[in-house]
Amino acid sequence: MAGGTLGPTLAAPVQLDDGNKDLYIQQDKFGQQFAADVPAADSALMAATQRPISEAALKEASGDPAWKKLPSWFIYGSADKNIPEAALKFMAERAGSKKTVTVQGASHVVMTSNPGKVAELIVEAAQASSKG
Amino acid sequence: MEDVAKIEREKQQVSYEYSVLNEKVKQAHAKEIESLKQQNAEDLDRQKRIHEIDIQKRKYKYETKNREYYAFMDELDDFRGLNINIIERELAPMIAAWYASDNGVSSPLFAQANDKSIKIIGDLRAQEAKLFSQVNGLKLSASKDILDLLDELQKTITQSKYYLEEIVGYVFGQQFRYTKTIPESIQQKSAGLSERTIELNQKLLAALRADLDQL
Repeated sequence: MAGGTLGPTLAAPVQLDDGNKDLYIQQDKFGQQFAADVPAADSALMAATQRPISEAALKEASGDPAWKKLPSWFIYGSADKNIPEAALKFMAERAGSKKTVTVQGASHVVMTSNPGKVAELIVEAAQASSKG
Repeated sequence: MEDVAKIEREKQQVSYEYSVLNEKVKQAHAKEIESLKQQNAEDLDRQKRIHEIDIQKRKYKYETKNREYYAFMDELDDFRGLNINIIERELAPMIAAWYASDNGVSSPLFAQANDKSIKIIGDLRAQEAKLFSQVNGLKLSASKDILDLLDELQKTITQSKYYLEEIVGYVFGQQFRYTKTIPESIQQKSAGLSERTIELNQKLLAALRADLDQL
């Protein structure tokens, strides 16, 4: 299984006063890595206003996952470079996804590049859940 | 002699009957006049009350609209404050300092610039949303002239927002990294949008004043 390519695009961690470190994607690599399927102007703004991820968030245990108790629906982009497609597919199956939508060529920000498809799946999930 | 006395009695009788009748007529007229006076007083009172209610209604409408217009102009001023100057004055020097410190790899200076850009864009979008919510409120009772100006203003605000977003993206990009300046062409376009907003602001102010005067 090919791994994600996020690591090499990260800038050097920014040390915080509380001892944690924030991780940012380098400006010039953000578009290709994170949002290759959105217009360049939009991905430039996303790069400028990206919210960093805490290094600790990538290492700490998640605790009891909600998908074990709650019904799940899954949508992902086949060209996600942060989390490889095979890993996303595995996660969907493990969660017992009631419906999995793969958007061909979509990046990690499938909700930005394909908002209609994401909204459609949310509506479908909400309707199915409200029927009990 | 007897005839004279009889005529005199009849004369007296006629005079008496006339007086009685006259008195009755007078009384009837007096009553009618009194009734008319009362009716008139009631009508006048009713008219006064209607007029007073009308004045109160107009006063309430005037004050409500005045408040609404004032709040809208206030929000519009706040939006106009979020312009290229903020990027030039506050964000661009941060980014320049970051490039100067470690050639743009990563540092707390980058984190500061990133925080600033998140704040600028967040404020811009929040202010646009507030303004549009007020514009939609104004549109509910606006005249054709005001509606046209509001539509035009909405378009200009959206253009300004997109443009500022583009400039934020620009100052984080490669060109700014080397030049550390925002090109004249970008500044001119920004100034043009800003002038258009001011022009619409003034036209709208005049239209809203005229609307208030008509109330």
